Amino acid sequence: MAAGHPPAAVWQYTPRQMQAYLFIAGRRKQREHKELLALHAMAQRGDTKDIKKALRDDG
Amino acid sequence: MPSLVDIAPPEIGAKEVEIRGKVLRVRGIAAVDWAALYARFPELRIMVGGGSDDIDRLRAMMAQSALIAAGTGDPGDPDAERAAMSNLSAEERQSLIEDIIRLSLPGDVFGPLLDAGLPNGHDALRGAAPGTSLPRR
Repeated sequence: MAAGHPPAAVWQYTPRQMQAYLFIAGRRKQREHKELLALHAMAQRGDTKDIKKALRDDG
Repeated sequence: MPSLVDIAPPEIGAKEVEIRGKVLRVRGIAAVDWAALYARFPELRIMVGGGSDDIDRLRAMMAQSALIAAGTGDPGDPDAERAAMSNLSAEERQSLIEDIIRLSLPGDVFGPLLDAGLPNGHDALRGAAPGTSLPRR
């Protein structure tokens, strides 16, 4: 449910489905953390131009 | 790593099992039906978890039958549960439960859930029950 699945739908999942979705959500979270870490690292040591470019690319 | 089948709805992951010429459609049991099963048969939680201490054999068989009814598309249906209890041999029940658990739960199938209803160490009693009919469906 924390990963955005509606409670009514979650009750209709089998535990096997739940575990698979949890695995996928976990992997997505890991990837997001890595992206965030890369951004932080760049912000810490990058020059203003790179930071401005990253902000522009993110919309 | 989960496969596409793991996230597919139970109807899509369903499997056809033939017992004495009759085809049963076995599917994974949804969480809401597991909750109902656990509420009715608290010992099922122990059996699924791999324990078997002090579980009444009749209660275990009733839990197995309710599990089979749910896994063949009739959760909570007393007629389907009765049919699963009285018309299936221990071996047939065991085989169906194994399929249902595989489609429902991650991980392995535990012995205590499968062995309930079988006399300890007497595999000779496993086998088809002659002259009986199968559950509906």
